[in-house]
Amino acid sequence: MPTVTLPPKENALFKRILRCYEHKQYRNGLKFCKQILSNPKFSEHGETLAMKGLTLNCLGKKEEAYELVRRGLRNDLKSHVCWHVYGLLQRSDKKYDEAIKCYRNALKWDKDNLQILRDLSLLQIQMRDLEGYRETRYQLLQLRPAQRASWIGYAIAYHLLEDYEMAAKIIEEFRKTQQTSPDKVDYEYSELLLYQNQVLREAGLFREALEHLTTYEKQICDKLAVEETKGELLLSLERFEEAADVYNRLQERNPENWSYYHGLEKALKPASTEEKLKIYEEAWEKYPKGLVPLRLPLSFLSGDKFRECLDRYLRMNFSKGCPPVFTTLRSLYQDKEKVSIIEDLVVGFETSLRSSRMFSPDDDGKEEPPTTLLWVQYFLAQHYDQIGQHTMALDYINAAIESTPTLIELFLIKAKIYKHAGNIREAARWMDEAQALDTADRFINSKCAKYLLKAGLVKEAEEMCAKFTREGASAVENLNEMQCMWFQTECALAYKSMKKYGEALKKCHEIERHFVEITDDQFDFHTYCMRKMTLRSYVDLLKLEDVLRMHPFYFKASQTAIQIYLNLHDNPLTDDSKELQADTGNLTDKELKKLRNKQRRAQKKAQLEEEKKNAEKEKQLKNQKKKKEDDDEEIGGPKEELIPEKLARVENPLDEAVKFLTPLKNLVKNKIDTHLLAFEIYFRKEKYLLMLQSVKRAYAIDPDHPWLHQCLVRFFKGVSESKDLAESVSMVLKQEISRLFGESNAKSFNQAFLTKHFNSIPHRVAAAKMMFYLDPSTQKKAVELAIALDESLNNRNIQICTEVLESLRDGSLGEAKETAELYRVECLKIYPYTLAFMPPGYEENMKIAVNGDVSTETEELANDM
Amino acid sequence: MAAEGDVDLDLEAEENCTGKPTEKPRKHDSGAADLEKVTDYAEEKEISSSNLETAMSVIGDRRSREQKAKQEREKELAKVTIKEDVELIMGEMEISRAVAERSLREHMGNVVEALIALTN
Repeated sequence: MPTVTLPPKENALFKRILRCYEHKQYRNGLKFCKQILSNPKFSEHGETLAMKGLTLNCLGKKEEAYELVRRGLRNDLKSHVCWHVYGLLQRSDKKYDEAIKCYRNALKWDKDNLQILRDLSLLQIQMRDLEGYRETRYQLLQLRPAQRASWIGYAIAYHLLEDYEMAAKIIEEFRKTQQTSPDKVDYEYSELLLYQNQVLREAGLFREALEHLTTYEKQICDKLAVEETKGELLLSLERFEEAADVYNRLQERNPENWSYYHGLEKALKPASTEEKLKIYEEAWEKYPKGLVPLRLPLSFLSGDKFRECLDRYLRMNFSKGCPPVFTTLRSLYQDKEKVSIIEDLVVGFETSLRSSRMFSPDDDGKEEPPTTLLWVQYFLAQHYDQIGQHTMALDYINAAIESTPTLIELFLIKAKIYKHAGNIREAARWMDEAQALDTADRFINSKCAKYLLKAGLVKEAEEMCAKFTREGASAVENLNEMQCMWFQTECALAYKSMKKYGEALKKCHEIERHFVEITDDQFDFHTYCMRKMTLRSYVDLLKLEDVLRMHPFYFKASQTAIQIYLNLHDNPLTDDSKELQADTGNLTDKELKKLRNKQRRAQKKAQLEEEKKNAEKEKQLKNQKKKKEDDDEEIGGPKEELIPEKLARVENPLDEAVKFLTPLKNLVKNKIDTHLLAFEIYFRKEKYLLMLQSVKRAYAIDPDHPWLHQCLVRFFKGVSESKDLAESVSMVLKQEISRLFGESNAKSFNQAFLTKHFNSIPHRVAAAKMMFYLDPSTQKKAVELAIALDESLNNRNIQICTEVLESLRDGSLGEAKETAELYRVECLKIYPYTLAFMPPGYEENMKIAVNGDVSTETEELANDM
Repeated sequence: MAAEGDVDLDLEAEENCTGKPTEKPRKHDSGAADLEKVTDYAEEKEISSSNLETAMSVIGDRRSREQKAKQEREKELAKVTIKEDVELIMGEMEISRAVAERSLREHMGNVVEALIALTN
């Protein structure tokens, strides 16, 4: 209970303050606060001070807010209002644990305060303290059983705790209390019914769910959901005839939906491929223009039937001029037989169309328009690109370009072919050509920016994006604001390959912050969705947020960040950049002086630019603040700025890496890369059990993975050479290693691996590297193993050859610079387009003109003279 | 001229009718206004019914069973554990004290088994 009770007049004012806060009328609230506080008897009234602080916080005056609230709390430690307000303040700064503590304190002084309980429950669900959430919601239900939200909240608590039967029971009790008339459309009731049905299905009570659905069908507004759910339930209950009826109806509704055909297959249970095909042949007749019924059989047919079906599918698409037809067939390219049938058929089309304008010499009928040949050539370019024959691919795409030089898609594919062939600069050039054909098309603009980034042209990429970002802000800042993660990921990769680790880490951290923001954003929806009864979407949202960091964007950013931190651990940066130090060793005094002058000038220039940027930023911030002054709620505290230099010189890079790794370990367990990256970190930390954990998990996914092999060899060597391990740790290691791998001798393990995978280049390379690692005297043999390029060996591709070249140059196979040069020449013969194999100096001579801009390097040289 | 004057008057009248003093440049609606409404204050809806009692009893019953089960579980697990082992597990596996303790208890205090399970 508060220590000072207000007399009626002030009490009424206080109540109005609370009302104003609820309705976001902050200025009025402040006025009333002033009225109470100006009275000398109540100038230190704790609760009013606290409310004033809270209102100010909503207006963005954070520091003042905290001061006032703390003062109010000090004056009145036993007031639940003060504690509650303090909790609200902490919550607005995302300090959720602190906020929960404050709420619990508030509840000590007012056990049954509804508002506090509600706020506590919101925090608990935000932090996924599900048991706590259930308890709080039970309390709310007991206090206010007449309120809708109490029931719904309680039901959801059980649902999330996976106690579906209880949840279903609660919803049923609640539903009975709802009065609706059957002839009125009540969307909220409809959503409640669908939610109830979802809970029943998740509980596995399919029969009950189906009965429930049929009973309340008329009152559910989302008719499509009803039909689809019915179909699923009938299949689960094995009532196949009825299921077939439902799926036929659905198919009529939308003949292009894959899942309806899959449903129909499950319902009709065809015994053979012919019977399966019959389902689709019926669809062909019913829906002659349908694309999906033509495409789906290609997945399960083979041989002549496949060819026949493919012929129909392709003719239809080529005549129509459908660009993505190759994309729709790409999933078939795992099957070598199908690939050769496709090639045979389409090459035949091409030859025939060129000579007689018809798909096949045996055709009679109308001639095809010239665009059909164009699309066939476009398809063939992609086909040969997919199977790695880049020269053929380029031939076809160039033929197409010759006939139609203004079609963007053609240049896009040409760029892609060069990218796959290993020449990203040429690819960027052609992508620029493509975007120049239509500068108002945002897709091709983004694609071009992406390729520029892959080619390392960060500034040009920024200028490209600036064509579409908001005016007045720098493109990079705006893209960060818009959470444009593809751009930031590519930037990070570009900076990383330029060894600008600080900049790269800044991007990775920015991406990480987006994910934190997305998690925080769900907060307001806890109340909102329950009020609006959109419960299915709400539960989906919660489930999505639980696995948010499973998303490839997070994976890529984390992977990049971890690799950089590993690098920084192995080669820490010193005060002056390492590259500068390395160069000064060989210079004369005069040259040294010149270099220092250049450095000083560059530093001064950078400083001036920084100051200019800061001044710009200050100005922008001032303008923004002016707009924010009126009734804007500030979300969270000001974030700490990310400074590249500080990020790259962090004290403990491995700990930072672990921060990125942890969500991956929880959510992306199926990717072997997660575990191998984990191993690299723990190897450097010398945590043997965690190393064991990583290799165990990786081994379960792919025991023969080349990178895993390298980890295992190092692991065994580490274990055999380790001293001072705790007894239990040694026991665990010994037991598990002998159980999983039989032996633990690194050398023999490596030899066995080499023997087993003698014909696969990536495996040989891994074994070779480890051979050298374990015994540097074997260098000659190791190098010989690694550089074999014979046609008879498997898995030879650009990536592995580039890796071998790197290793020959960076010392992981010892001193081998001459061998590297010879190897490079050999690779160039096999892969004539790849940049990595071009002679040294090639890249400097190749400048890319982007939109006609001249490279700025010549200008810089002139300034330095 | 009179005709022009009339035209002017008409234009003025039109402007006053629309009530828009200046023409705002059309900006992309980022939905910010709608998002703001999410946090608006709204009165909670009430159920008017007489069957609340039966509904509540269904729940009350369940609750007491849950509480009992929870207490029993905690008693089972509150076996004596060796502090050093917990510290070892925490350090080697970089996990929190709570998780380390729980895993040790689930393996009846056997450190080696607990560690093997944790490395799975």
